[in-house]
Amino acid sequence: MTVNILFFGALVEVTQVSSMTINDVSNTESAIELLHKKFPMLCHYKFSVAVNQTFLTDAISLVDGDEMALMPPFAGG
Amino acid sequence: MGLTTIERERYARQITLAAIGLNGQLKLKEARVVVVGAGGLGSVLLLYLAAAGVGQIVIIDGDKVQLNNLQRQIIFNENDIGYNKAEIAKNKLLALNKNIKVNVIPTYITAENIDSILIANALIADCSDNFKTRYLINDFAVANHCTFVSAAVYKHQMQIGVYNFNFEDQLRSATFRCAFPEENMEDIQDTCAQTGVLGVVPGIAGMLMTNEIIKVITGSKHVQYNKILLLDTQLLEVKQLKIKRNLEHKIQS
Repeated sequence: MTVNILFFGALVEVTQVSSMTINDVSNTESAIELLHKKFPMLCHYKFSVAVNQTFLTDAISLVDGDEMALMPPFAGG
Repeated sequence: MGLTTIERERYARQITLAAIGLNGQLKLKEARVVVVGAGGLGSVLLLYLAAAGVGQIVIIDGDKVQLNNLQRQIIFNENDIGYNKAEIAKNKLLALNKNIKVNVIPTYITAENIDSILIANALIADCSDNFKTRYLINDFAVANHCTFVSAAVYKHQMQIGVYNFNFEDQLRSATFRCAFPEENMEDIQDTCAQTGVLGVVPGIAGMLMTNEIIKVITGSKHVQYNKILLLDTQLLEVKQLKIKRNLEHKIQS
């Protein structure tokens, strides 16, 4: 099972990529856990998660081909 | 209140549009927009609101114009350095359009003064530059039945949303806090001063905000609520993420 991960804002500077794929994660919690292990600096950032272009309020199951976006709020104006 | 002959001539190019028309122009004339922040977002938004004929504009900003603002805050020039942004912006708007009313509140929004500064049922443009003010505006808007249009920038990217929009009878749309419920954002170093910003980025965001505000005022069916638009100006990529209204995040005390 493959999930496409998108990073936005300052998260791109942590991961050095704007997108990547991860495998064998069953839900958003395990996906974020895996990303924290891969990019330990992510724990210093606050972000919301959207799956298939919809922000989540709770963790959900993931299926093959899902797109998961990690979006921090911006403040600059 | 109708439109004068001069107003019909002045706004002829937009009155011609089916989406505006004479009725929409009259709605713009009768509208009031409260603008929080006359910086990179606000300086562009203010000019376009005034040019479009929004009848009353309230500008709230306690900051003074600095040299390093001029790279993006195009309402100001070198002669304005050291003066209050809201006061200067008012003069610029009245020079552009003397038929509108502009009120100035030359101070910053705080938790202590927000209830005496912002107005219930108002249409608010959140052009602020920090999380604290953004969440204050969010919570005031939810408690006081205000629609607010908000944008923010990070380097070459921007986020834009229309929040707490009264899209149907008693129903209001998702808010900024529905998308980003996280508290304690103050520790995030995310201002333009710290991260850098290209001037056109808040400029584009300010124009897109104005576009949504005009749609809200004129009663368009195309107001983009319950979503956040993200635009990357380096890649010229646009993404829209849907938000669900979550009343658990309605007000944080």
